[in-house]
Amino acid sequence: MSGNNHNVSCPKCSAENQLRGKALTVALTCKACGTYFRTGKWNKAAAEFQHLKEYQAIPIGTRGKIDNFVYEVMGFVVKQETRYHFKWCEYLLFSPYRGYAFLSEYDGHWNFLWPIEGDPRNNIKVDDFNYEGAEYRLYQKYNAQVVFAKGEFFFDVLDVTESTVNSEFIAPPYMLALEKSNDSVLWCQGEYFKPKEIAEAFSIPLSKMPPRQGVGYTQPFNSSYSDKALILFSVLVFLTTLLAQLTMSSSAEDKVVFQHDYHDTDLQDQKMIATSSFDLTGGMRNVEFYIYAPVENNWFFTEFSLINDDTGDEYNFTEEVEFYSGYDEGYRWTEGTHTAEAILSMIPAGRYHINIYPEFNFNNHAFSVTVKRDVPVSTNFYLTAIGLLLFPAFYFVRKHYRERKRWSDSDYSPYYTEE
Amino acid sequence: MNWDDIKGLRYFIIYSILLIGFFIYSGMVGWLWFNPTKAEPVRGTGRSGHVYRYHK
Repeated sequence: MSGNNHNVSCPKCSAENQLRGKALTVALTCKACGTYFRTGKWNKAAAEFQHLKEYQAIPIGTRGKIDNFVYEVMGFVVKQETRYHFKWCEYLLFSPYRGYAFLSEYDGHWNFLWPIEGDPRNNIKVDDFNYEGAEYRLYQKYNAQVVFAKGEFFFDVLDVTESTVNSEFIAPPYMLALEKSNDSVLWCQGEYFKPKEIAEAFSIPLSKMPPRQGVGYTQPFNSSYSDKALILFSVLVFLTTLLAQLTMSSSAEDKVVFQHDYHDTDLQDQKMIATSSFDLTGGMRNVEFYIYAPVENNWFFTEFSLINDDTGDEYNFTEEVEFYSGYDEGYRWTEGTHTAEAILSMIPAGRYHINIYPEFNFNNHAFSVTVKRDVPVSTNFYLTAIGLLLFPAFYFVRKHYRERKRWSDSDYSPYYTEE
Repeated sequence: MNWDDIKGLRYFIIYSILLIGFFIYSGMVGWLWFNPTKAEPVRGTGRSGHVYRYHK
């Protein structure tokens, strides 16, 4: 190998290679034959790789803007995990203003990583820790090897990859990656990027990007809004509904508009009792009927017709009161009640009377009817609260299953249980 | 909660406003969404006033 003015010749085919990284470049692959070799006197054998061009989505030399800094793609490697043998891609990027960074891609999911100073764990070897306000959890620990390389590198990517143990901690969409060898430690911070964002940053057609499969290990479940915002808004709408319910309940008229006690003698020779007329005021409101019958081991059944005196509109319904009691092995038991309630929805204002068709039984001869206008009800409130909770409930159930899927490829899954 | 959160939650916000609005409207007109009393309305039969009717 020989070279000058940032040109080096390939030790295998002697082709001249001009270095993009100039003096920073430590290793590269020959543009003519693809052989991987080191610049300078490293006394290491050159390496050749089986061509894995189909893995590469962004060509060497492509420039793209990430976080408002222009990066150029210097090198590309395909790495393979040594235990489970899964492969992923890494791109070495360089910005004259920010130094080097990495783009990693696995199953169409992208992470942009940049080196950081210091130890985010404050030199305490823990699997879970807090860094910059996010809770990081160990996702994977592995050794890897390079199975394909292309372009230029500022370090011996083969040697570094094979001599380091990698640990990755995630707090989606962020991650922290630790590369540790006997004599070096490198921490990188990373963030998840959508394929579309990478395609736009490097002006690559989206169709050329590898398709996204499964759940990326740093892929956020939802990037449109935070969990905190959803919880806060859900509480807000619930309190609004509760306030509306309390306001409507307290302002309900709840007014007795008719009350009368009846005896079977009131029927005389007829089957029906027609009440006196009463007024329902205040526009459209509900009407509650409260029926009391002093039945004992018996039932009382009646049909009601609430009739508008002016229009002839009728609202017909039936109610039944039953009450049974007795002694069984020395204990008194009861079943049923002496009362029944019925509510009619949306009854317009007007003058009304009720036709009552009672069915008395042998030992029951009386009943009473109380009619109230505009009574407070709570059923709608409960249904509204359920309706409002459906969205956050569905969100968090879906998130739970998504998180389980995210951690299904990890040896450190918090969801893992021995079964 | 910031502007991005509000944008992201827009469908939930619209749904909540509609649901709460419907809830308040129902409360104002005395509409019970679930009513165990099965009332059978009969429009203007012309039998207004006190009428005699045999029991069914």
